[in-house]
Amino acid sequence: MLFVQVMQGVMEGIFLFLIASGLTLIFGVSRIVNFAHGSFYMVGAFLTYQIYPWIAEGTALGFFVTILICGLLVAALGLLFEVFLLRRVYHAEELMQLVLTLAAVLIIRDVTKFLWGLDDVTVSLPDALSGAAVIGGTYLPTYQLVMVGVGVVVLAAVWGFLKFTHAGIILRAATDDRGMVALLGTNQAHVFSSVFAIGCFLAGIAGGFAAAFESINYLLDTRVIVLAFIVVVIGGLGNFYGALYASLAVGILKALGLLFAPRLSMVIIFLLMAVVLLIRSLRRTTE
Amino acid sequence: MDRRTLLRISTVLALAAGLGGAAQAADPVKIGYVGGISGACGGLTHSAVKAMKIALEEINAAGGAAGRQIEVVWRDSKTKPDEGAKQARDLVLTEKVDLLTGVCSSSVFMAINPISQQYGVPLVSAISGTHKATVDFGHPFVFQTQPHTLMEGKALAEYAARQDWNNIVTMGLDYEWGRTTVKVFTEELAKLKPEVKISKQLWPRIGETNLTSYITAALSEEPDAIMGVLFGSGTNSLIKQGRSYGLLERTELLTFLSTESYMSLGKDIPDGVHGWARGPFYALDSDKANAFIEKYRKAHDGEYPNDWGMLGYDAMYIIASGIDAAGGTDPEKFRQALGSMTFDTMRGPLKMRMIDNTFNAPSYLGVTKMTDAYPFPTMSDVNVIPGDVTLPSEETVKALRAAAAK
Repeated sequence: MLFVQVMQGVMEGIFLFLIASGLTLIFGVSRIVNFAHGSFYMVGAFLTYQIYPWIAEGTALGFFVTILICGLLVAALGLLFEVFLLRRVYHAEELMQLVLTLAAVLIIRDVTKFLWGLDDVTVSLPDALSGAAVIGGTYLPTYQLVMVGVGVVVLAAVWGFLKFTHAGIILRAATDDRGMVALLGTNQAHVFSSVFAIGCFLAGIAGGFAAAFESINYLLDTRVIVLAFIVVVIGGLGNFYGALYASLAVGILKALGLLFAPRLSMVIIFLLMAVVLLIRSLRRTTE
Repeated sequence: MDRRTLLRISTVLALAAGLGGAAQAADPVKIGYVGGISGACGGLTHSAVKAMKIALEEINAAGGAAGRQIEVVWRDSKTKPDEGAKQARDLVLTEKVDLLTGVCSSSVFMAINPISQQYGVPLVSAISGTHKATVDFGHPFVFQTQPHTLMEGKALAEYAARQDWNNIVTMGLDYEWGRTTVKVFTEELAKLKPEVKISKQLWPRIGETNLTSYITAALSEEPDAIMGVLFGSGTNSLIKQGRSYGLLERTELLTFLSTESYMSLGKDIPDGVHGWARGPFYALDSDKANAFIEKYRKAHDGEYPNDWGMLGYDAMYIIASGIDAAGGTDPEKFRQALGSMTFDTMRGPLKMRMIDNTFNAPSYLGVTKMTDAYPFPTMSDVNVIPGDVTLPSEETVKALRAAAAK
């Protein structure tokens, strides 16, 4: 029983990581608290709903192709947002940046309402992915295993990118000290734009996977952003690996909480956040 | 008196008469609608608004109520209590409406209720489920035309007692509606069938859509059935995600399934789920219902009305008939009129009782099945549990009111 819930928690955690990783990457480099991240996720979900029937509805391959396309479309949208709007407020105070990303939330929500209406919509899972591997009475749903796989691929790709490529080195350097990177002659604008696009790509594919997993509507943006922020805050703002540990911790704690103290399962997560913040600030004051 | 004076007097008289007549004809009944057109209720309410507009057109074309046309001022509560209260107060004080209707979420209903009481403006709730507004904090001018939580909890218990279920896990959304329905269900089932064990109670938050951890936690009890008090995206997620856990092979599921869930999930709802609903259009086979459904579909690209549409249409007719019988909008006369009539609604003949101004609205329970009739599954073998069975007793109403007054 314990094993089932822990597995469940890991699967939920990896999915959370897909959403939160983009958010934390963007913050790490550009110091922008991007409230619109949830909106990009929502756009990815609705685009999947829209495009999947045109590609090859019902097939697993068509589904993955759809999600890839949606991820790229959302990345393009994010790029437009970054280049035309966000770039202009990098040097403004935080409040201005917040107002801009919040405005994006509201605009994207209204456009979503206009295009897809108020009703819940869902995407049917392709049959090939809707089953489960049953091991000794434990159900491990295929789809969630696939999502774990995607999470691992994303993790490996970002890790490899950060560790081994030139661009990755610049990115890590930019996270540490933006000014120094600029002084050394790297075009910051390119770094910011590409990271923002990558973050939006991750949000887009996460949304695409969610479309087949749950029910989507125009309120998805704020629903998701809160959880993503919890994860990012626990993991340390801008800390990519921290986001991974935090996602897993949140997923597993929630699942175990439901088994032993159903009424407290969300409280436990917020307690974790409080404890992490407390320890972090104590450490800062003692140093 | 010379001719000029006579002319003047008669002109004034004629003008006065003309004005008076014009004023009377142009003096419509004004109804304020406050509902969750956007926000959490948005996906449910839009159909209710469309349906109420159709009812309004029909009523006005047939001469209105008490010889006056009905005019509705539409306001969006954004499904937020403070916004709903603000809109309701503005409707009463600025727009000077004679009556309030609408509401969707329980919390908004509770926020508008005191305004209706304070200003003595009748409030007819068309689609909000809480019983607290009419029972616990009821006052003479608040009315409810759909089954409330006490009634639904009991209807669910009645249905569950008829099944071969001895071990049940409940999964109720963590707010007023979910909590109360689960509580009443548990209490009533204990009376009807004491041997049934409720082995676990789970409370997903409203808006939570990854329910997989809840599903595995529920299945770990190896229950005979899971009783879900979820709606919209909650219900959809439970059914979708449950599928890959073999939920329906391992247990049975009873959950709130109103028409918009069938529409959005389509064939993803497997056959054999026990659903419950408040106004399923496909199960209401009367001339009145059929005529409305046809009209609604013609006006909205072949879309079917959801449960909330059916309830909204009924509510608008109940309001108009009440005003008609009361000869106007005097709140006390309106209440007396509602209490003394039988309403021919799409859900059959309904009556209101005077003790808590609630209608004996039925609950609908059945098992899902895909048929050729609609592009989505519907409930077959629908059990209609009449409101007369589920309405709380007078003693219960009095006890709840006494407790609330403390």
